[in-house]
Amino acid sequence: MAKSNVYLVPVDFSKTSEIALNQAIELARENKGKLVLLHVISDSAWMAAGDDVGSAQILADYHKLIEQNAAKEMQKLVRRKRLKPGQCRSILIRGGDPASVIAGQAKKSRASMIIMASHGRTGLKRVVLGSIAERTLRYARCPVLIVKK
Amino acid sequence: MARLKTYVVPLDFSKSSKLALDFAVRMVGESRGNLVFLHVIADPARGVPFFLRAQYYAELKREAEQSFSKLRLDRRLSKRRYRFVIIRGQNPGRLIAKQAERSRAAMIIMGSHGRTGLKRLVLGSVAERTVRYAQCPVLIVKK
Repeated sequence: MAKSNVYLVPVDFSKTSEIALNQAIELARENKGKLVLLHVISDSAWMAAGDDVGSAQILADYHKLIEQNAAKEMQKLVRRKRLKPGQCRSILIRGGDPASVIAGQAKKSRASMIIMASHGRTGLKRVVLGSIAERTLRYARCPVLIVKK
Repeated sequence: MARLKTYVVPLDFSKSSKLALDFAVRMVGESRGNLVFLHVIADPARGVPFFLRAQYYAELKREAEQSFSKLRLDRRLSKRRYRFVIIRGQNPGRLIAKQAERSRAAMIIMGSHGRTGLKRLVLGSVAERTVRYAQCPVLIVKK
């Protein structure tokens, strides 16, 4: 944590991930840190159309749509939180396992911390940690801040 | 200016809890805040005869205080910035969460596995329960 703190914040546009983002913004303000917002487009969304959608063209359109939607959501989020370009970067990645993508990105951005919600869109409420938070904790080398709602 | 933030750092003097302490100290150094170091003595101490327990707890407490003062000197912690609390009770995870509430902690900073955690689990049992009971965010520091 010597010179600049980078906080990686995985967002899935759920309410809980926004709470985690709020926490991250506060921390970044206190420690003059930078935020890296990461949205992972999981393969399950990517493959949801199935194989028999007719033509490759339709599939390509569908994929484009998913990416555009994610980019739009991300833009909206950044604007809503009034984040300036200097203090945050947003990344979209498509990947099979969100948790390993998150951990990998943390390493790549040399994040001093991952800040994420205990449950995102998919977590079972009755378990302590959602599946993605749990696996991120497993893969990550850096500290992970678990934010509960 | 907002009031200083408090961070609760559970300590069982394991390597992992020391890592958490170092991280917490660095964080406080940057953002200004207070630290509450918390050591939980498990109660009841199974295997210790009933009539010896009071003595046993006193012994554990003294040991914890000793380990802490060693740690404090080693890390050169300034006395103004922290408190050291020892509590005794049944469920460390719950006690940690409770202490965090009592100190109005902004965050709990702890190691993923303390002295008792199974290494193959993602979270040790105490860290897991703490995440379950805590109202505030929990920062898990891995080794």
